[in-house]
Amino acid sequence: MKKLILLLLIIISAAAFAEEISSEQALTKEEAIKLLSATDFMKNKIGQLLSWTIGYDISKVNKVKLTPTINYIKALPRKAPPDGRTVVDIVASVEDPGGLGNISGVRADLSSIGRLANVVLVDNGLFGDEKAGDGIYTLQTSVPSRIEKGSKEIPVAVANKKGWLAIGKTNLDVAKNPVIIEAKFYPDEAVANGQNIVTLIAIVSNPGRLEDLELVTADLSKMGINDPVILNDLGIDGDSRAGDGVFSAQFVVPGFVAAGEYPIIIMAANISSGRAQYQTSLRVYR
Amino acid sequence: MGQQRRDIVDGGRMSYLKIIILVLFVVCNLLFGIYSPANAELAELGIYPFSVEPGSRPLGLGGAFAAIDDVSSSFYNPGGMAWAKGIGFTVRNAGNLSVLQAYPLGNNASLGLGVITRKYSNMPITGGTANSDSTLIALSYGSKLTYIPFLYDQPFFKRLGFGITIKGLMSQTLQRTGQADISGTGIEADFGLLWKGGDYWNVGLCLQNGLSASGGELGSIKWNNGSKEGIPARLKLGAAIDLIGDYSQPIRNDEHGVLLAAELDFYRSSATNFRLGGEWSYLDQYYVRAGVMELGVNLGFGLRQEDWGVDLASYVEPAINERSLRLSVLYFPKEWIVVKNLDLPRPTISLEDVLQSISLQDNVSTYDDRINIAGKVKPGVAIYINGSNVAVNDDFTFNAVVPLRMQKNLVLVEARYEGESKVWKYKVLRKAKVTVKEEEQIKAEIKKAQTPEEKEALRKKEENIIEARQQLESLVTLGVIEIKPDEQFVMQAGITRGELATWIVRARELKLPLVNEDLYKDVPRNNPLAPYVKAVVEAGIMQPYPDGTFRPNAFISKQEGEFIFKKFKK
Repeated sequence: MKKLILLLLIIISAAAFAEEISSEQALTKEEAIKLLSATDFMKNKIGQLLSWTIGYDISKVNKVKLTPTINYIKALPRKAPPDGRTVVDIVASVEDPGGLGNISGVRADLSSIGRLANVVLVDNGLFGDEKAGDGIYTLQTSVPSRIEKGSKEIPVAVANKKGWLAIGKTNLDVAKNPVIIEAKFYPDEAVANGQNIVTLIAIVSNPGRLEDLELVTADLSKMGINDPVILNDLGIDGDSRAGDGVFSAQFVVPGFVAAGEYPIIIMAANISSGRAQYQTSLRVYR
Repeated sequence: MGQQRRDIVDGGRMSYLKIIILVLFVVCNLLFGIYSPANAELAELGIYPFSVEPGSRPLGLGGAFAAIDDVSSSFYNPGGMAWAKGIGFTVRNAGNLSVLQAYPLGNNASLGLGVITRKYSNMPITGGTANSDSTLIALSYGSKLTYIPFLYDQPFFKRLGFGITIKGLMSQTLQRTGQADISGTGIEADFGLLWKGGDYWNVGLCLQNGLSASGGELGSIKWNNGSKEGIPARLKLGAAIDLIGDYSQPIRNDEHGVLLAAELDFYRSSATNFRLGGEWSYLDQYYVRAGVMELGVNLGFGLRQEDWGVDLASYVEPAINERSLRLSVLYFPKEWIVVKNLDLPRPTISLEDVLQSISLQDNVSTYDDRINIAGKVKPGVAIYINGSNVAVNDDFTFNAVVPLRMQKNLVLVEARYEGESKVWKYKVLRKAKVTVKEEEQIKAEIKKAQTPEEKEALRKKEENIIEARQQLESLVTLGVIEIKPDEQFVMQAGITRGELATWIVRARELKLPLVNEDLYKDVPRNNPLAPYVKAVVEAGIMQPYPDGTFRPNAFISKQEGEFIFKKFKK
C-alpha cells in the first residue's frame, strides 16, 4: 500500500513538473536578438558600426586587384624605317582578374608615329594576330615618311568590362639607316699571293625587314682592288646561313699588294635610301 | 630600372634645389650686408610696418609659417601663394585690422591683395608718449615655374612654388610728445619659395623686405622731414610636416591630424630667432594650436566648415609687449577658379575642379557587394579608385564597379592631372541583407486586408518586424549571426542552446578553445559546436545539465534565456 502511495506521488509530481515545463514558452530568435542587441556591449558595437565618424581609416580601403594586367608590349620589328610601307606589329599580352572574356578593349596611341591616337588591337586571329582568344592582342601599322627619326613611345591601354584600366608602353625606334654592327676577316691576316681565300663577315641590322637591305659592299680600293666586293646573306659564297643578318664575301689578296695594314670600308644601303658605313682594316703580309 | 629612374629624378630635384638655395644664399648675404638702419624713428619704438604678421592661424603656430600655404602666405612666404585661395579678415581692435585675399588664377597661380592697418596709441617714450598709425597695401603673386614650357613636366617644379609680395606703406604717421609730427611712405618686397618635397612635408624659404639692399627710394621709409629710415630684412627658412593624418601622412589616423612647423629667422643685425608651432586637428574641423616665438608662447583655436572658418590666437603684440587676442574670419569660395586657355602644354585646370561629376555620395549604406561609380572628368585627367586606374571614355566619362567588403568601406577617388593629384574620400557601409519570413507574410496580409483598421494593425506589426530585422541585419553584418545565402530567417522560431552559444561567442568575441576530448555526453569533440559550447561554459555564461549533458539541440526557454543574458552582461 505504501509502495502504491509512493508511486502515485511520484506520478503526480512528474505530471506537475511536466506541466510546468510545457507552460514555459521557448525563447524565440526574435527575442534572443532583442536581448542581445540590448546589451551595452552590443549597443556599443552596433553604434560603432553605424557611425560615420569613426572607423573609416585607410585599412577600410578595398585594395583587391581590379585592373587588367599587361604582361608585355612589343613592337615588331623594334626598329622601323619611316617609309609608310614597312609593317610594324604592336603586340600586347594581357590578362584580367575576371578572365580574358572580361577584357573590353585594348587600344594603342600611335600619335607619336603619326597615326591615330586610339587604335584597336585585336585578338581574333586576323590582321596580324596569330591566334584568336589567347590574350595576345595585335595591331599592324607603319611609320609615315614625315616622321622624324628617334625613339617613339607607344602607350597601350587595356580596359575591362568593369571599368578598370591598365596602361603600358613600348618603344619603337624610327630609323632610316641600316647599322653595321661588326665586321671581321677570317683569317684576320691575309697573305698577298692571289691564292689564299679571305672571308669577310659583316653583321648588319636594318630598320624594318632585313630583306629590305639592298646592298652590302666592301671597298678594297686601298689595296688596289677597284671593284667593290659584294657581301651576301643568301647562304652562299662563304655565307653560312641565309637571312640571319650576317653578310659574307670571299676574296683573295692579289700578289701585287704590298705588305701592310689597309683600311677597308664596308657600306650598306637599304630600299629606304638609308646608308651605313663601317671601317675596319686588314693586315696583309707576303 | 624604376629605382634607377627615381634616383635620377631625385638627383635632378636635389640639383635644382641646391642651385636655388645657393643663389638665394648669395643674394641674401649681399642684401644683409648693405642694410643699415641709419635713421630709426619707428624701429626705436619697436614698430616695423613692413614686417607685419597678419592672420590668427600663423600666430597660433608661433609664426612658424614659412613652409605653409595659406591665405596669409603673402606676408609669411609668398611662395605659398601658388596653392593659396580664400579671403581672411582679421581684427585685434578697431585700429588694427587686416583683409587678405588669395585669388586663384588657375594654372597653379594665385593673386593676392592685402590691406593692413596698425594703430599704436600712448606708447611710452622719454618725456611723453607716441602714437603711430599706418596703412599697408600689399599685392602678391605666387605661381609655379611650370608655365615655362620646358619645365612644365619636371616633377621638381611641379612641387615648387615661388612668389613675390610688393608692399606699399601708404601712410605712416608718427606723433611724439615734444617733437614735430611726421609722416612717411615706402615700398618693400618679399620673395619666397615653397617646396612641397613630399606628400606630407614642405620646406619654405622667404626673404622678407628684400628691397632694403637698394639703398634708394625703394626699401626704406621716406619721412616728410627729408630723412629716410631703413627697413630690416629677414631671411626665413622653415619646414612643416603633416605628421598625423588620414591618408598620405606617416602616421595614419582617420580623425586626428597633427601638423608641426619650425622656422629659423636670420637677421644681419640681431640674433637668429627660432620659431616652433604645432596644430592638432580633429575631423578636419576643430583645431588647437600652440607655438613659441620671440616674445613667448602663443595659443590658437580654429574651426573650419565647408567653405568658411574662424581662427583665434593669443599672442604677445611686439610693439606694445602685451598679450593680445586676434580673431580671423575666413572664407574659401569654391567657385574661385579661373581657367586660362593657353597654347602652352601646361596645366590649364585646377585640381579642385577636375572631377565634374560623380555618382557616389559620402555616407552611403548599401546591401550590395559592389557599387557602381560613374562620373565625368575634364580632358586629360586620370581617375584612380582605391589605387586602381579607371578607364575614361572618349567623352571623358567613367564607370567602374568597385567591390565592397562587409561593414565599413572607404572609397578613395583620386584625380591625377599633370603630376598633381587630389583625393576625395567616400564612406560606404555595406550591410548584410536578410530576408525575414514574417515580414513577407505580413506584407501579403496587408495586401489582403479588407478594412483600414485591419491594415493599420498589420502595419504596426510590420514596423515591429522591420525593427527586429534591422537589428538582425546589424548582428549579421557584425558576424555575430551567420545566415546562409538565400536563407529565410524565421523570427518566431525557437533558438537552440547550441545556436545561442555561437551567437554569444561571436558577440563577446570569445576566443574559441581547442577541444581535445569529448565535452559532454551529447557534445563529442568532433561536434562543430564543441568549441562554442566549451567557450560559453568556461566564460560562465551557459551551464551544462547535472546529468552530464549540454543539450545543444534543445530549445531555450524564456526564463533560461533571461538568465543567460544576465550572465552575458556581466
